[in-house]
Amino acid sequence: MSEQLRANTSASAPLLRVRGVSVTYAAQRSIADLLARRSASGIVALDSVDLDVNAGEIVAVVGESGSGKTTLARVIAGLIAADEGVVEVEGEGPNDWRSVGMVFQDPYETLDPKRTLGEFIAEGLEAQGLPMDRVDTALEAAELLPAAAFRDRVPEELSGGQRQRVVIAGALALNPKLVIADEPVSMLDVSMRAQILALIEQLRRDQGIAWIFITHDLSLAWAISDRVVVLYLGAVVEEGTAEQVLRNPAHPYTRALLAALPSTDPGAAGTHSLAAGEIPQGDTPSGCRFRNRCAHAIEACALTRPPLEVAPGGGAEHRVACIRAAELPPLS
Amino acid sequence: MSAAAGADHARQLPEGADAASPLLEIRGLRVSFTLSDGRRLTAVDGINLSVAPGEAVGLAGESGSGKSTAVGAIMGLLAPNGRIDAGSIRYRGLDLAAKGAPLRRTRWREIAVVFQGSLVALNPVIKVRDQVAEAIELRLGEPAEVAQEKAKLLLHDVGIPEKRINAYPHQLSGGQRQRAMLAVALSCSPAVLIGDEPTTALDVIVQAQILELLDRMRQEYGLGLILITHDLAVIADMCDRVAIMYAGRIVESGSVKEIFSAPRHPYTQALLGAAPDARAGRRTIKVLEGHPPDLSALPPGCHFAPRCPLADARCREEDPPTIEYADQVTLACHRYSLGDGKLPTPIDAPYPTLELGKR
Ligand SMILES: Nc1ncnc2c1ncn2[C@@H]1O[C@H](COP(=O)(O)OP(=O)(O)OP(=O)(O)O)[C@@H](O)[C@H]1O
Ligand SMILES: Nc1ncnc2c1ncn2[C@@H]1O[C@H](COP(=O)(O)OP(=O)(O)OP(=O)(O)O)[C@@H](O)[C@H]1O
Ligand code: SF4
Ligand code: SF4
Ligand SMILES: [Mg+2]
Ligand SMILES: [Mg+2]
Repeated sequence: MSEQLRANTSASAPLLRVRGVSVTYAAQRSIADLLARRSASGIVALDSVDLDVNAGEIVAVVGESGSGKTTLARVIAGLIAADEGVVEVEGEGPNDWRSVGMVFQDPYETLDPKRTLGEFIAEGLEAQGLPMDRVDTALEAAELLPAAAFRDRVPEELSGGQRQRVVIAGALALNPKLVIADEPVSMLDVSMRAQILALIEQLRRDQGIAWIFITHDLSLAWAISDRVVVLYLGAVVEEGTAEQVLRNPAHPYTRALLAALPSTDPGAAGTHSLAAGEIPQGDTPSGCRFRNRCAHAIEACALTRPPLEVAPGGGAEHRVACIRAAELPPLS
Repeated sequence: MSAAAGADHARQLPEGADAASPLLEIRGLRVSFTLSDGRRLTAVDGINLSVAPGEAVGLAGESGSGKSTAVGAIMGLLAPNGRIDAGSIRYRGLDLAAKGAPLRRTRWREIAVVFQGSLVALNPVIKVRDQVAEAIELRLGEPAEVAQEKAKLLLHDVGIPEKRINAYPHQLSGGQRQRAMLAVALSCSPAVLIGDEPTTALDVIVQAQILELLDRMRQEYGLGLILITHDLAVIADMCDRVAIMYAGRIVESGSVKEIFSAPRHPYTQALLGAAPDARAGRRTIKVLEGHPPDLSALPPGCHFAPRCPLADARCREEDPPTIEYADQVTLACHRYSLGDGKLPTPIDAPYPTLELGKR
């Protein structure tokens, strides 16, 4: 973000303001539960999450599978309602579809194979009562050039990267101020990923669009985001600038995510799994959520939920929820 | 090591195989598919690939480069419109590509595959323990009780908690399902294990756990491991040797150490430079424009030429031959083909770069 933008935004209210959002998925006995003679219990997918996104900012939300990333995206986009808490975009409830766009992981699922790209984009415009002349502008903004050559094509005729750009074009057509991209490049080859990452940055720079970039790939988060928010079992356990969180991680979970990341750098040490086992499904431990997998856990960790506090030695924006953050050994 | 898997029983080789020959050696393999309009598409175009016991070999390349087709040929699992046009796939000397090669079912005793989509590969209405036991009964002809006992040990070996072994596949997490798949693959004590994108659908922590498990299985059981992925970092972490595929060919191969520290082929350089790296603190990436060619309408010359910053007139006319250099490095690129056979100095292909996160 430019200094100018930063100065403009930090003083005023954030574009997106999420406060105390909780979501519990309703108890519903699945076939699996029936077979296992198990009674269903609600799954707490989000537990009192706070999140701010400023205009023109790119915020990465990272965390393991099941940590609640998609649920957060759906709440912000207004696709599901929060059980508790507030979601505001420019001070209003999330029903203003035009200011929040959404891009999902799998372009194959989002696009109807039988419809042309123009029809796909027009559908969204029609639903919002927006003029149809935006189809070409959107295709151009997503760098599908010339727009006339793409308008009448069907998804089958495009590469995976181009398909994802069509999905992005569909979101851009609605003139959003914020786009939520849920694992937008995880199905794409590295070469196509670069194109999409470049496009996201360009749209931020040229049109001031803010992005929430959801990924479990910390390298992508590192490359693209201004700020990183780490989710674990539905709660924010660490947040800060990309430098703070990924170069100087303060939470044992963030450290585990980084240590598990393979690297092609000949100097990089091999990967290790610093976190034991897998993310618990259904039941969240008392006290610190991460304690049953944490190598640094002590008895005190079971007593209270560690609040998000300013990280030791960090700037004010770097916050971590770990009672032992100050005692952790430095990263090698 | 458990009694359930691995090389703990004297391996009975299939007829025609001999223990003194290399474990798995593919030479000049060519595979094509007939398209609905009658044209043929060569998906694998004369590749060489081998793996020794206890060795891990990585196979990487963009989507459509022919990685899974090569696996299909090895396993006798090609789609009905596919066929092996040339080359050999020798398992301990026995050519699996030849007519009259052992049937698919017996092949699984020697070579097993773990695919990416474990949910489709497992039967949803059979408990995982029974699935592993069934594979043992069917493929090894063990009696049911023995198979059940072996299945239990195997599932323990791959790290599925005992109280979960009687679960149905959809009751397991993605990581647990991939472990169960591995148990099925290992159930017949194969000598070669092929992972076709085995961790692509998993998140980093679970991926690291599954990779650790694969590595342990390789060491403990002396498995020859072929790991297919589009993530070169996974190969850097796991493999001894690597082969880079583009449009059905292996364009560069050699030891991971050599290739990753001094990539020579422009395509390898692009793949290595295209991903940002949080651990190395790298945000500037190389941009590889365009996309792989249409295999049913290949232009003459080097298949990579339309995307290569080093391409010249010759590249657009002549197909570069694959040349073997010192240290078992192979390369198919005109820029290196004039040397004296010594390992050539890498030429940096001037890709455009993209500096991400510029603020
Ligand atoms: N529709 C649903 N009904 C019941 N539980 C759900 C539903 N959707 C998600 N969950 C559960 O809520 C939790 C959070 O899921 P969510 O999809 O938000 O995670 P995620 O971080 O996006 O994971 P992934 O990386 O796998 O996409 C998980 O435990 C998940 O099983
Ligand atoms: N049954 C088939 N009929 C026709 N073409 C096929 C068939 N199977 C594969 N192909 C083609 O062969 C080429 C190689 O495909 P293959 O699946 O081997 O690639 P891959 O490297 O495994 O890609 P990915 O990374 O996407 O899995 C592709 O161009 C593909 O479209
Ligand atoms: S509070 Fe305790 S258990 Fe939780 S992350 Fe910190 S050290 Fe680990
Ligand atoms: S042969 Fe020519 S076009 Fe092909 S990779 Fe080498 S330099 Fe590039
Ligand atoms: Mg998700
Ligand atoms: Mg494949």
